[in-house]
Amino acid sequence: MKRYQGVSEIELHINGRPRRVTIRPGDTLLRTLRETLGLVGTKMGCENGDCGACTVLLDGVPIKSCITLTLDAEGRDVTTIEGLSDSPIQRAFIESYGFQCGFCTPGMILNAHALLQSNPSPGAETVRSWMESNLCRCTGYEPIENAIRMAAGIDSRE
Amino acid sequence: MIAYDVVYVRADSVDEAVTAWQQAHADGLKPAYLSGGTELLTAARENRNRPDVLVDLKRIGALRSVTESEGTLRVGACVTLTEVVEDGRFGLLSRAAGGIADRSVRNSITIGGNVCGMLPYREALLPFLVADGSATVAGPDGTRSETLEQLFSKRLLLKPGELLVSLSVPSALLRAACWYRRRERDARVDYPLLTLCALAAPGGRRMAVSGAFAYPLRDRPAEAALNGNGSPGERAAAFVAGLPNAIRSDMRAGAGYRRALLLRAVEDAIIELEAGS
Ligand SMILES: Cc1cc2nc3c(=O)[nH]c(=O)nc-3n(C[C@H](O)[C@H](O)[C@H](O)COP(=O)(O)OP(=O)(O)OC[C@H]3O[C@@H](n4cnc5c(N)ncnc54)[C@H](O)[C@@H]3O)c2cc1C
Ligand code: FES
Ligand code: FES
Repeated sequence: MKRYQGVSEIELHINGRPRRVTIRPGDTLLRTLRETLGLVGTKMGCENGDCGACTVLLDGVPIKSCITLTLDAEGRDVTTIEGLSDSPIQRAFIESYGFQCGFCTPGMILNAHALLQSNPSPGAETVRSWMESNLCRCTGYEPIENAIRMAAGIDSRE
Repeated sequence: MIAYDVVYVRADSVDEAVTAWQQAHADGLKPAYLSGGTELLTAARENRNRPDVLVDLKRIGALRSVTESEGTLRVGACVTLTEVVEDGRFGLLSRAAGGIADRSVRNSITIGGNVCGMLPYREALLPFLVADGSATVAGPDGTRSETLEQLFSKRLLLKPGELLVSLSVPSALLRAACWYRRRERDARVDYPLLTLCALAAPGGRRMAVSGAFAYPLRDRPAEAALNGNGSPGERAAAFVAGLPNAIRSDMRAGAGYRRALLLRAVEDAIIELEAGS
């Protein structure tokens, strides 16, 4: 049994690197990433589990970091958008114009990356069922789906 | 984000969790069991719920698996909705769980948290209600297993300090013909105006509903109408008229609209279950 009260120092494993961080038990992973570790690529939107802007991967699985305690990430691998710099999925978003303002993009890219890791050649229904976790208010979902198809090597005209 | 100083305890076993809850309670504090945290964190941020001590159940191995033995399928309370969808052995549960929220949120929401939560919907409970499910709970007085008919009335009837260990259903009903419908006002990921789960068991048809009432509901006396005479429409009307509960009205939909959705769903379920039998 482990007990945390007040301020504690814990170790997180983020984007392949160990990071020591000072937290309180009620801190969410979103706040710790942005406010303590300066990893501001993870965006804060609704803070209510609805929009997906705060999506990160825990052991490769997309979760919404605004409704996840930092302590839930202890002993697990965290991937943030900073960990996918220059990745094929990031390049596909650029080449397919899969963003406009870019606010939803980190969450979109992380979710899409996890999808392609678990299913390298997803059908349209599978793409939709994963990507409905993330809201975009300006691009429209078609260029985003095209980016995922491009990263998967699927011809968009199919 | 929980803005006040909360204490967090990560339990490694059910006994440890129950003891931690009792200890906090004896110290005059307000403890809460923590599972996926998706409701607790939101409620604490909005000051709707202010537990002093969170007793985290998620790393207790015994609560994290789906097992089938001696004619019973058991789903551990900390199994996530994505995990039950992918497990697939209980098809109706996979469909009902897969209709809740979105995939990333389902990666966090657990069966136990969904069933023990405060929201009216608790859709993951519906398949267990129609399949004569049971619950195993553990608390200061030990562990007990009861049918949901005994243990569920508007909410799970847990005693102070008790936690849900697992929900189970008879394996014999896992492959019974079933029917599922979910209707929302706008987007697929919205809260449901109506979710209906129906199952054709050897003794007759059963139905459980979320969204129409302030809690999930299966009403056994009303079910007699489903299996009686008359056209599907007449039986649906008799079933809905027999429900002793008031249909909800809120900003998403009025009671009249929800009643119409319910009548249509019950009629369609009767027709399709009969066509398949
Ligand atoms: C964006 C979004 C949309 C949603 N849409 C829907 C929907 O349409 N339909 C629906 O049904 N749900 C929906 N939900 C889920 C629901 O609102 C709750 O958030 C969820 O069910 C809680 O599960 P959890 O595992 O995160 O529980 P937690 O937040 O950890 O706990 C919830 C409550 O249950 C108690 N608890 C947890 N586990 C146990 C246990 N084993 N024994 C005893 N008590 C326990 C906790 O103390 C707490 O009071 C949605 C959630 C989100 C974030
Ligand atoms: S900020 Fe987390 S889902 Fe919107
Ligand atoms: S690019 Fe602006 S919200 Fe998606």
